[in-house]
Amino acid sequence: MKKQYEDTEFDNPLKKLNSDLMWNKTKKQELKNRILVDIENLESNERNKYSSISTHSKKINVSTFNKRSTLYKRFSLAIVVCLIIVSTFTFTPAFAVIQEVYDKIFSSKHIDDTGVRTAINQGYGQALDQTFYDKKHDITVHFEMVVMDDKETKLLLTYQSEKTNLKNYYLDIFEGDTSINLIVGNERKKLKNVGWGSRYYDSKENKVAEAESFESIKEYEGQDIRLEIENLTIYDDNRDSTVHTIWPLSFKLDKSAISKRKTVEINKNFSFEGETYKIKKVEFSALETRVVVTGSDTKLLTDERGMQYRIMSNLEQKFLNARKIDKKYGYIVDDKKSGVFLKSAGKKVEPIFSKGEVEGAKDEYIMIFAPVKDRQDCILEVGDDIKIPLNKNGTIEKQSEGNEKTNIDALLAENGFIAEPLSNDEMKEMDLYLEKHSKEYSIGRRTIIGKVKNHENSKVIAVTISQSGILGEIQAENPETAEKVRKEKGLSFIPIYLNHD
Amino acid sequence: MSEYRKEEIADWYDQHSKSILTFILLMVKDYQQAEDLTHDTFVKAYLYYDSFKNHSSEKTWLFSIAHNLTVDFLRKRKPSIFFKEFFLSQKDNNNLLPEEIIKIKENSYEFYKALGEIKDTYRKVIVLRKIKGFSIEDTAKILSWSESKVKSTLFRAIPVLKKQLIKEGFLNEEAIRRY
Repeated sequence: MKKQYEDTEFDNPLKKLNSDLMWNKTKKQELKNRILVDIENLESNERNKYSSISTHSKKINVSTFNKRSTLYKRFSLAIVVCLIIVSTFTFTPAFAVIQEVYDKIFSSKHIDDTGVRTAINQGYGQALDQTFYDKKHDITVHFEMVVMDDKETKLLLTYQSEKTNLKNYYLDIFEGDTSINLIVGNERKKLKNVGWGSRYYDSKENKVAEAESFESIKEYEGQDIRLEIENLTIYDDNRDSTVHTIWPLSFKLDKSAISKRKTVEINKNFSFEGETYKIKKVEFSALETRVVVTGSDTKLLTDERGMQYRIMSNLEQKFLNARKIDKKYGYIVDDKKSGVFLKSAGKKVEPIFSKGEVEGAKDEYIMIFAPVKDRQDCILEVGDDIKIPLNKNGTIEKQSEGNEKTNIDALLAENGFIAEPLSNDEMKEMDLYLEKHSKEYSIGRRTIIGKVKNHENSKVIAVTISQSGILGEIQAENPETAEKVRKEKGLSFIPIYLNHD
Repeated sequence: MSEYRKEEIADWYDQHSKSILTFILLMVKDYQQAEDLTHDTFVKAYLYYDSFKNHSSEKTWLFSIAHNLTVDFLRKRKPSIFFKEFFLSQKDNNNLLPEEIIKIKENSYEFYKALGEIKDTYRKVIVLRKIKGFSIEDTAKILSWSESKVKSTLFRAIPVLKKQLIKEGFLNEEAIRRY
């Protein structure tokens, strides 16, 4: 797992501002008492479905609808299903000999990339078996193997020292000071990272195992190449620093290092949490399975300075929902959480979370999973409800499309609201409003799901519902002001938004 | 169970309330609102305790709640006329930061003031990354942004803060060039 750090000249004064802000102890205690009293009140009213918390100058209603009721049933289902993961890629005796060539650490869970583990177990890759001694820092480097497809290269190496404590030493090409350079003949180029790679530090042996992950070099097949790892990054609690060094590696790139990628065009549409998505294609290789998606919320946005950026789509949030950071094993799957998974040949296939931030083409979002056993039998599961066969013919199953709507309607009813759909004219008003305010209010994180029926004489300006089941109202002090505010926004109705937590 | 939950919330309050209150304060620039939103953060954490699954630290989780409440508050504040008027009328009112409750040492006041003048998006990424010391990943979680957006926004936010410090007369350009 990689650490992240960057320096600016204001780091110290800004850190100081944190400690220089001092809060009166009595006030702190008073607020604590106020919170605990409110919690006690909530407990005593716990049997009531409706709870109201009043803040100072305005009223915020925090309502719960059968807290953690139907929406959360999905999570309990997920627990049962996720337990199956353990058996997805088991070690088979047939590959035991190949396994012995490499340090066993690379096929263990300490390397948080199921793709690397699977590739080793299935015998992919070119053995390097080269040792380099960095005399200045007393570090012995062992290059174990290289494996790649057309999108990335994995270089597996270990480094160990008797004198230098390597606990905080990283080969971080993602955002550290480390780089990897390729030299072929007169050509020299710095290789770009793909995701973060994986790292494990064995404190007993003072040894680090890293699976460096960078762009594919398959085009150099059959050629003598030299790779140079330049600099190490040291991360400690306060700041990072650089160890200046070069670790060279020369070898002839053999075709055994290269695995092929097979792409299957899918072009299937589905909707999820109010957004529409298209699965464009799925790509299979020995190191991974990529599912390439575009959607109504995966588009590149442009800020006022012309800089393009992305926000997290609902699908990405769901994908990352099952991501857990474990001190021992890096990025792993949280078996208790709902997420996005593949199922192949009846077995669940884990996402590879260490390949974060892998960019696709414009407007694309890429989900990366471990390699699958059966490429013909592959299903994308979004939460527990949506199942999409990753082939051209199979039909999409959406099991509980009505459940969410039922929950929302129930929550609205509890609070005295009835929802109805927007008319065409109202949709136009909404589009104009969103266009005008999207940057200002980050409206990408909410979806309009309808309007309040019979809004006359209401002091409500807007209603928001969070996916975790909280209803919030924005109110004016009287119906006249509310209407005036709505008019200012160009809206002739009370919008109901679904907020994506 | 509920007693255990309450105890845990109380522990979390002892550990993180100051950090959360000052985060909100830097965002809303009004002590009383910051206190109310801190209150709501811990009450909401109590209500949704079961949905906290330790996939991040409790601090990150509490900050996500605080951030969402703050964004909701800022969002509500903007479109509503009477709120707008209320805040405009109090813009330079020192009561928003009552000295008997919150004190800022003199050297840091200039940063507090300059931060208060830059736009919300820049302010929050600076506060979380540089003042509160969250990792890029946790910052992304709290803000529901991608990690690359955290990095690129921070990259743009620092020069904006620098410009603001110069504008306010807290830094001169000569000094900046020396960095």
